[in-house]
Amino acid sequence: MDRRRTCRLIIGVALAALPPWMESARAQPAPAAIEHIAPLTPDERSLVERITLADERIRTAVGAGQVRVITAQVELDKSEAEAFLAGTSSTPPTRRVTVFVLGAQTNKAVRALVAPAQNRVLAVEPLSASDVPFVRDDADQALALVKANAGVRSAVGADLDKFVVVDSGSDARVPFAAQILPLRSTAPNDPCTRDRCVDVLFRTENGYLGIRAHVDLTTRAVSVIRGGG
Amino acid sequence: MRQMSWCRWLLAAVLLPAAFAQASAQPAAPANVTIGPARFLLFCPNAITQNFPTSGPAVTTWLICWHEVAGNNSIANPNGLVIGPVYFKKSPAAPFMRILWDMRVSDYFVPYHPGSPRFYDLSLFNFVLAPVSAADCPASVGGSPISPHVCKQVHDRGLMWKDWASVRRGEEIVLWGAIDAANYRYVQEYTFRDDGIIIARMGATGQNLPSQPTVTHVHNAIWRVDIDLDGVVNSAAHLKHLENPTNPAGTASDTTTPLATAQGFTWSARTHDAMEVTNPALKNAQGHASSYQFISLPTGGGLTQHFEKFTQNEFWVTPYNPAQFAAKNLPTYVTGNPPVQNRDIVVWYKGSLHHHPRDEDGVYDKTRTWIGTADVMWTGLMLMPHDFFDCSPFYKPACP
Repeated sequence: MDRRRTCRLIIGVALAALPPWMESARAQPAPAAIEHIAPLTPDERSLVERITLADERIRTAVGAGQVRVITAQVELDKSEAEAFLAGTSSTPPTRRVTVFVLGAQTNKAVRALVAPAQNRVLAVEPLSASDVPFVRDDADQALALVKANAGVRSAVGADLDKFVVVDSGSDARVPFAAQILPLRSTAPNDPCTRDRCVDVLFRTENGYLGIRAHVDLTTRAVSVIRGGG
Repeated sequence: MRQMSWCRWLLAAVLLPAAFAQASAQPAAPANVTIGPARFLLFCPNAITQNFPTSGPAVTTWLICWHEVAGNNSIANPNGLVIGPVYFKKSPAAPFMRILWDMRVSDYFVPYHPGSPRFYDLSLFNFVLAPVSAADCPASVGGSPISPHVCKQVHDRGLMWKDWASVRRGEEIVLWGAIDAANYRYVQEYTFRDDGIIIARMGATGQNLPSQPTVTHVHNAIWRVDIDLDGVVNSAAHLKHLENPTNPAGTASDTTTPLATAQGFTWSARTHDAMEVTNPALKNAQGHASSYQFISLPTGGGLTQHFEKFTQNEFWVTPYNPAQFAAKNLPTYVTGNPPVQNRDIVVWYKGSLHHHPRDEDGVYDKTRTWIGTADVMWTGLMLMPHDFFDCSPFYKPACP
């Protein structure tokens, strides 16, 4: 009995001697973890597109007709993120999304900053259509134009139809991989100073073929670059 | 006897976790602490806490958040491996101090000597980080993949100092991934050293441009560094070394020119141009204004300029703007001379690799397929603390 009492006493003293920070850690409920920059969910992306397309400034800037919305990086509101980090706020910081909008018929484009949680467009700035980033659809379109071009077919041969677009970062073993490199020009007489242009590369299992296909997606023109070396 | 044993186990169960927690906890933090590792982990679940030295009591500690800004079919304009926020503890008793909010490559710009093509290898397509494996990131060099695309290496970095009686080697943590830009790979490498230095480097490797594999070109990397030295109120200055080699007195001087408005300036190998970032409220124990200096790390002897205005300066400073991430728009960002003194600022830096192809890069085979690879070439910048510590941080005795 004495031993049990002694034991209880020792444990009681030990618990009482626990540092105060451990006490406070037990007492305060921790705020939930947040993902610093989580990718956009499909719902968020749809919301961002709706907000973008509803904005009068954007509609006016890109003109009438079909438009293309390309979603880019997600950033956090810096002051809100600072407050969260400092512990003065437990509210996760607002996410802001950069979007590019391209008028398919007008070839006019803007970049916009959208706050989906606030349901509004924060900023809009015009930019050249050639500054709108290229996405997989552009690569697919470029390869389709290349496959329909007699000059490229003659240069690549019968294997041309076997080439497929390979996504960046893929470690898939693809025997006939087509890859695109976006490019711009500065020469006044070069259409790619204003048009959306890409080069298409052809990679086989042995290495890269010694030609490229140059594609002006705006005018749908294709040419073969054989080069030297 | 049995009862005492049970009692001992219970006591141990109560006290051991407390003892472990006490041992691993940072020393009692001063009142001005604004950030702790636990809070940081809520914000950035993949944060890394790195003590230096890696064995024995910690002298300095980095708290590093990293993430991938990756693209997919409809997400464009990714930046790959993005660093930030980053905090640093300069001594066991010091609080964590914010150094960076965000550091990333804004773009890789690659013009070829004939004037065309001119590639934008990061901003114009959804290029993402390539997979890394144990072959990229072997344990034998302190490596461990921390995601399918990012390698962490913690290792010796060579001599830190050597004097008449003693020597000390330094250590560093390196995070890297490689952008898969079709025929090229751009290594995005960020190093955090035990002495508070941060190094950002671009490594370029891969297969030379199909159809023009022997045409000389330049790989430019433009970094966007949202520096927050102990908070967002910062200022920038242009540092320069001045020396007239015809002056027989052999004297030299340094100038520090505060930058009042957003602008760019060039780097010169003769004048050691650098950018210094200070926080007006931050001083070390000696009362000296603490700073981080942005220092060029050119390899291959130079930094190139091109027709595009954004390539015509190595250093730029702009006010923080959440919509400004594009290096090619830098001339627009400085238009109107927005003020940059005592406010949240962003520093931009351009490094260049002059790639003069050589037979070692590869050769065509009989079917005109290019066989070979260009080995990695590097360029980058260093962020060096200046009057940030109170004295040599890893010297034998404590600060006098």
